[in-house]
Amino acid sequence: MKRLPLALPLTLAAGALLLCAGTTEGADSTASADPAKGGAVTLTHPTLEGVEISFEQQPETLVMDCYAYSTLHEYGIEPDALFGFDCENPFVMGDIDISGIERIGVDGEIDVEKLAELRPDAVIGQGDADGWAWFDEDVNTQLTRVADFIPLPSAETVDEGITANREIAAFLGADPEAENITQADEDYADAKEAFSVAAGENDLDVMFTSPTKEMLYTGVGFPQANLLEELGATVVGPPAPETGNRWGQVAWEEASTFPADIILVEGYSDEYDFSAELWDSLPAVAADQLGNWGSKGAMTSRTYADWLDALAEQMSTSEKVS
Amino acid sequence: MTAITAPARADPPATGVPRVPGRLIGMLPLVAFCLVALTLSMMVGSRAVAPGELLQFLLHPDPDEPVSQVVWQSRVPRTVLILLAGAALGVAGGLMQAVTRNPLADPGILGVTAGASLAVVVGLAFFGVTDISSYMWWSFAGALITSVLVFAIGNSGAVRSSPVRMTLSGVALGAVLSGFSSAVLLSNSDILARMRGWSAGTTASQPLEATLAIAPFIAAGLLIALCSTRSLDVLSLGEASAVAMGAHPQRLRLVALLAIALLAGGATATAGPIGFIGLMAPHLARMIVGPHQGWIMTYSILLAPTVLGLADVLGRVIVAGEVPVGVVTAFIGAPVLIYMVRRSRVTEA
Repeated sequence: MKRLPLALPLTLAAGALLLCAGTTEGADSTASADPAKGGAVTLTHPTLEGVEISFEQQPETLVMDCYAYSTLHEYGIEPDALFGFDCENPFVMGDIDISGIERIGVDGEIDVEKLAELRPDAVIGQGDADGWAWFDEDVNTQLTRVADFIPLPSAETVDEGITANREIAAFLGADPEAENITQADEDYADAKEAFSVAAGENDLDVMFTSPTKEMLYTGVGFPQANLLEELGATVVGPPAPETGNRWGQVAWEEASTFPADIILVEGYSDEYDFSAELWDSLPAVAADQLGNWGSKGAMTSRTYADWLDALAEQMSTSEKVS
Repeated sequence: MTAITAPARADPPATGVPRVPGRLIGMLPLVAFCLVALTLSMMVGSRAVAPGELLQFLLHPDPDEPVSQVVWQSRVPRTVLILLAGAALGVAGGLMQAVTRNPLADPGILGVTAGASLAVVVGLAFFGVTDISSYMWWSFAGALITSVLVFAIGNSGAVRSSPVRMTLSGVALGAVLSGFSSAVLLSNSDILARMRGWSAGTTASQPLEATLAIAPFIAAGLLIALCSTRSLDVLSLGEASAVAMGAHPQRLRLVALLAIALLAGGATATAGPIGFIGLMAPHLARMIVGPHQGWIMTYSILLAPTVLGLADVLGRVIVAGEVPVGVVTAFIGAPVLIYMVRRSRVTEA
C-alpha cells in the first residue's frame, strides 16, 4: 500500500477528527489500539451500528472499488488494486489517474484468484457488513475469506457522509487536518452560502434525474437533493419509495407532470447525448438548462464545494421555464 | 424482383373452410378487432388519454400541450410500430411455416430473431453503430445469415427438409446466438444500459422517424410474401409434386429467405426480439381460412398486430411502470402453444 506516512498516531487523528467533525448517526469510528505501535486495531464503523472490524495490524495492502478510491484519493489513501463500476467515468473519478493501478475486476465482476494473490489487508467499497453491494453471496463469502471488507459509510445527509468517510480515511492513516482538507472544508462552507443566495434570488425548481430509454428515474430523498432543499432550493419529483430502491420512477408519459426549471442529470457532461422525444420536450431540456449530479462518487468537501459552486452559477443564469 | 408463380392454380381442398366471399366477409371483424387494438394502444398507458382528447390532438397537434406530446411522441410511434412489426412477424412466421412445411416454424423458434439481435448488438458494441438507420442493415444481415444457416442445416443429411431437423437446428442455433448476445451485453454495461428494453422486445423505444425508416423494407417483404403465395400452395403438396407441376422449390426458398430477412430483420431492428407472434398469428389464420397461403398471409397481417397490440396494452397496465411486450407475448404464447399442441390443433402448414 502506498500511503501517507503514519506520523501521527491514528488514535489522536481519529480523536481530533471526531472533535471537529460534529455528530454522525450510528456508531463512531475508532481504532482500539495504537497502530503506530504495530498492534491489533479495530474499526468501529461510523454508520453501521454494531459493526466492528478487527485487524491484526494496521491495514496496509488495500483493494478498493472505484467509488471508494474516488473519495479516499483526496486523503492520500492509495489502493494496490481496483475493481468495480465507473472506473473510467470522469464524473465519478474526476482527474484521478488510475492507469498505473492494477485492475482485478470490471463492473460487477472480480478475479478472486488475483485478489487472493494480492493478499490484501482490507477490501473497501460500497456495501454492508456482508460484503460488496453487487456481488452474490458466494462471491462475498470468497472475498471475505481473503480479506476483511470495509463498507463505505452510507449517510442520510451529505455532511454526515463526508464526516463518516473521513473517519474511514483517518482509520486508514489519513491526516484529516491536512491543508488540502481544511481548505476544502472552507470552500464547501463558502459554496453552501453562495448556493443559498442564488436559490433565494431565483425561484427555480430543480429535478434530480437519471433518464433511461425505458423510464425517467428521479432522485427525491437522495442526500444531494436534501442538501439543496436545506439550502433553499425547491426539488420536484415523485416522493422516494418508502422501502427498497430509493430511486423514484416516472413513466415518460408522466414526466411533464413534474415541471422543473433546471434538470440535474446523473453523470451529465458536455458530451451527454441521451435523447428521447418526451425528454427533449421537457421545458428545461428544451431550454438547455441541464446540470450534473452524482448519487455515487467522491463524498468529500472538495467534490461538493465544486458542485455547489457550479449549481449556484447555473441558478443565476437559468430562467423560469416550467 | 421476380415473383415466383406456379404454372397452374393449385388450391388445396377447402372442405369445411369459408370460400372466397366468406373469407372476404370474415376479414371485416378482423379489421374491426385490429382497429380496436390499435385504438386501445393510442389511449391506454401510464397517462390515460380520453377518446375526445385523442381525436382532438390527432387532428390538431399542439406541441406545447403535454397530452398532445404524449399522443404524438409516445402513442403514435408505438402504435405504428405495433402495426408494422406485428404484420411483419405474422407474415414471416407464415412464410417460414409454408416454406419449411413445419407447423412449429417462427422467426423466434428458428433462431432468426436471435441472429438479427446478435448482429445489432455486435454492431452497437464493436462497430460504433448508434442509430437505427445504421443498425437495421445489421439486423437484416443477421436475419438473412441465420435463415440460410438454419435452412442449410435443416436440409443437410439423409433426411432432407425434415421439419424436426430444421426445428432442432433453429432452436440450437438460436440458443447459441442468444448466448453470444447476452455475453456481449453483459460485458458492456453501456450497451446493456442502452439496449435493456430493446433486448426484451419493446414497442416503447423508437421515435416515429425510426419506425417509418424501416417501413419500406417491411412493405417490400410483405409484397414478396403475398406474390409468392400461389407457389407456396403448390409447395404444400410436396416437393416432388411441386417439381412435377413445374415449380422451382429452391428458387422459391431463396425468395422466401429474402422476404423473411426483410420482415424479421425489420421487426427486430425496431422492436427487438418478440417471440410467438409469428407462430400464433398464422395458426389462428389457418384455423379460420384453411390451408390457403394467400388468405393465411392476408389474415396474419390483421391478426398479428391485433395480438401484438393487445399484449402491449396488457403490458402497460399489469404493473406500475411497464412490462415489455416481448415478455408478455412469451407469457401468453408459450401456454397457447402448449394448449394447441395438446389439443392437436397445430395443423400442417
